[in-house]
Amino acid sequence: MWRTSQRIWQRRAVVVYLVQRELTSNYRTKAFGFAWAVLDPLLFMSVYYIVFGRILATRPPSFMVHLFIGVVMFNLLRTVTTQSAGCLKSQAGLIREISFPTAILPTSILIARLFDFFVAWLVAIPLSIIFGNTVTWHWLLIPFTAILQILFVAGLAFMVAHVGVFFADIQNILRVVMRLWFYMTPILYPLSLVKGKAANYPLLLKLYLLNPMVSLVECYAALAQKAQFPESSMLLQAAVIGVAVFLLGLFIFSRSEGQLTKYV
Amino acid sequence: MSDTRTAKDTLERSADELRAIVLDDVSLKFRLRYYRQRRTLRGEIVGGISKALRARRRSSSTSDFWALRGVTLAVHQGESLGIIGYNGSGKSTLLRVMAGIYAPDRGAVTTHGSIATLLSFGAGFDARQSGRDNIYHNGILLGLKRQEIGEIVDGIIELSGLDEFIDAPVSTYSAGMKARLGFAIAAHVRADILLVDEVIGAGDERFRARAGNIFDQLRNRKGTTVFVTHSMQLLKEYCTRAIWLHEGKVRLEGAPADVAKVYVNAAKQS
Repeated sequence: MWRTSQRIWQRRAVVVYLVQRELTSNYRTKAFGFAWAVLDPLLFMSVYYIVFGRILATRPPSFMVHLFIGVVMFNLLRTVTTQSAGCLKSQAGLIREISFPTAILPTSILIARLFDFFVAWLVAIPLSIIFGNTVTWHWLLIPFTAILQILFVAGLAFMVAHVGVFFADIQNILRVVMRLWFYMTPILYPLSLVKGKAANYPLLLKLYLLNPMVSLVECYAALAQKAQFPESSMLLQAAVIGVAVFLLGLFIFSRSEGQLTKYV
Repeated sequence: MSDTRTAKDTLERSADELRAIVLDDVSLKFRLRYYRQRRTLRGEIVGGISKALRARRRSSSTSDFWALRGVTLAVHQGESLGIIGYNGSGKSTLLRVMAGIYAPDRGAVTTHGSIATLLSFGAGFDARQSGRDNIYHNGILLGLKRQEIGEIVDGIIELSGLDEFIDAPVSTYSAGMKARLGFAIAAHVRADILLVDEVIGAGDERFRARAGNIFDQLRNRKGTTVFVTHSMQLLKEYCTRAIWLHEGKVRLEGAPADVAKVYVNAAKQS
């Protein structure tokens, strides 16, 4: 495991190069180019707001910020995992031709998508002000929550990259799972709504709260919207799951790195 | 007692330093079930359960294909080793184990020095990108800096003989052109060890002559070459030693001319 991380670090120049390639190939061919990093979450937020905020008239305008942050943080999970699932197969020729640590492929995808994530957070600042949320010093703590999410997403990326070599169906499965996961995370609705409705079903609520994305979105929301420190239970859950999933993913991947190349 | 031991250690270490590649009883298997075309959920589940039940009795199932079976081999620095053998005898697998692409299932591989590989007709290239872009792409994955590649890019284009086609997408290249570009990159990386699969044969006579020069240069600076070939002529011309790989085992090892003779006779009789 330590060796895999070392090998990634030694080839960091390769990672930088692959990230650049990933970003340019994604944006260069499009008329709006890098603007899509901003447009994408904005448009999604607008669609959800029109449907849930206006048509169903359930949410106040200030909820826009919650929606935006939710969409942005969930996008990081969705794009990185779905891309990682096929990243080894799609580079099969290269993997069987040149010896390099294959772990740099999911790593590069993660870093490229972190770029989108970072840009979107920059947009979140003016958006917050427009919709009447105050931007306080609590925002400075958002990167720490982001680190917990990045660990979680990186661990999952390593796992699905591994599984994707043997089981190509994972990409189809992930698409469905991600949709379900999105609705199971308090993004389109506030957590208080679930807590209210599920008050009579404590077991169901407990299950719902096990979702690590719930604790992460609550940590972000506390810092960015409520200008308060996250609940310690939420923070603890996010930290424990983040570190555990990361280590497990790295362990699974590094254990089988020399074997994966045979089957890509 | 301890003195003699350290002396022996030093001796072994200095002998080791002269070895570019050491394979110690290397075996490698492919699990055939991962290659099955028709994989069904039912098949996976049934197979998984029966495997779990069997696991205690037999560790290795019949669905494993052992591509290499206990290969022990040392390649010395400055040597040019040729590998011959029938199709499917494990030659390419052996090169990939040497390159560190495949990890052996049993045994150990140690290499000293940097490695450049040329294992296929441009499978490592991105076909949509130009030859020039692919030089950078492969160079960076091999561990070079962008600036270092900039210094050798003209030499690579020169050796590949691609001229103006270097800026055309690789998808427009012939097999020979891809082989030439791949070889030109591998040659200019100036690695200590060069691993080449049956690729040189795809180039024309002019290119073969240039490749020969490169092999000579590499040998002059104590570089090591291992190459797989089906051409007995190339084997005798460029190799200092040859091995015949048969069903994943080293069947014969010796001077290229001798090994080639036995191999060709055996092939005719079978």
